[in-house]
Amino acid sequence: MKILIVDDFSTMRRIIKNLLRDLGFNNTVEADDGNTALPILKSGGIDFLVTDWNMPGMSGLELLQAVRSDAALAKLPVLMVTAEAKREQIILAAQAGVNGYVVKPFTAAVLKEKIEKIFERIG
Amino acid sequence: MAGLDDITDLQTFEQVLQDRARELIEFLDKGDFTSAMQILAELSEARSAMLYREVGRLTRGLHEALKEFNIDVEKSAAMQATSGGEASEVASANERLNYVLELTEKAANTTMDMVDASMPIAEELGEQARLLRDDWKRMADKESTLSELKDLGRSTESFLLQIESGSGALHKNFTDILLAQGFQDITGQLIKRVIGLVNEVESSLVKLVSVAGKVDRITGIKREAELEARSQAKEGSTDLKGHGPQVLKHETTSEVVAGQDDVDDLLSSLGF
Repeated sequence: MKILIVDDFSTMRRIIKNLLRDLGFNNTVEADDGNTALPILKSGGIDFLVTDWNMPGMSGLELLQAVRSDAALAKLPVLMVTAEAKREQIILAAQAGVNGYVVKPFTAAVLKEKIEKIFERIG
Repeated sequence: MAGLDDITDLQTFEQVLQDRARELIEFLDKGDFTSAMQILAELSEARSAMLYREVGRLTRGLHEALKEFNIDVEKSAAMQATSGGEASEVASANERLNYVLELTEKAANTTMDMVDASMPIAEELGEQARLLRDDWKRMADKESTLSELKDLGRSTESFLLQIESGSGALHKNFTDILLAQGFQDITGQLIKRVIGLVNEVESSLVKLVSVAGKVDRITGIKREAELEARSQAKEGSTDLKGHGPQVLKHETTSEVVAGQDDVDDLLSSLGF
């Protein structure tokens, strides 16, 4: 299971990376916005995408839209971990096809629960 | 605010000033004081007109600058009186910085609380290990009875149990410390927004200074520092780009979710 973590703040990438390691996911790669994430995704091998929303360059939502419109990536599970907390935004993310949504600041338990739920559904 | 026309105006004025000054000296040399006085009057009038125009520009510029950083003086005053209504950019910048303070303080306290909780666990484990090591050393130094060996076995087992629960507690505390570092991401976003506002205010002020500089030239006031105008493209904030962390408390009730539970409710209402 290879996971791509996308966040413009390296501290947050490190936090998520550590939490994922705790959950048994040791194979992670990082990108600091959608523009750097997309080539990594397109080169293949990523099984799960964890992304922030608000980033310079390409935002997490734009990345999600790009992923869903790419035939090779369309099925990729995407978890959004973001400080964006407006209802309309959560709805926007849901419409764009997000698989899970975690608002910052979050707890390790919440992250674990959402990831497990996503994998449960995908089977 | 400062177009090419203004510069041409000012340059023309200065050109006229130079030309007329030469004529003035000629008239004075010739002893034609009437014509000399007339030139002085004309120049004075032109200078006044120019001055009024530039002061007018300065006033308009000031007004625009205030509008650009959304400082509505009346509204701000009313806000302070009633603490309601729409916040100006500056007021929301203040609120953002206050929230940064709050978050950093909370993260520092969480981290220190976890360290406080972890230190005694580590110390206790160390102390127990030292005691047990003494027991083992005594055991190795002399002949031991079966019951003594059994006691040592039991105390060793209980120590191992203690290590298990202690390391579990330490692991939990370390995870909490790790999560507490998330403040950096949120405060970073908030500070970036405030920096953006400060840049906007700065560039508006620089524009004002350049207009004020013209007034200075006309009136003959000298300034030491010269500032270069910098134009900063105002970054559009769309829904696609995100709005950053939510700070304003009064928004929480309606358009902003209060926490993860609200997100889950909203998503499940959407069929997730």
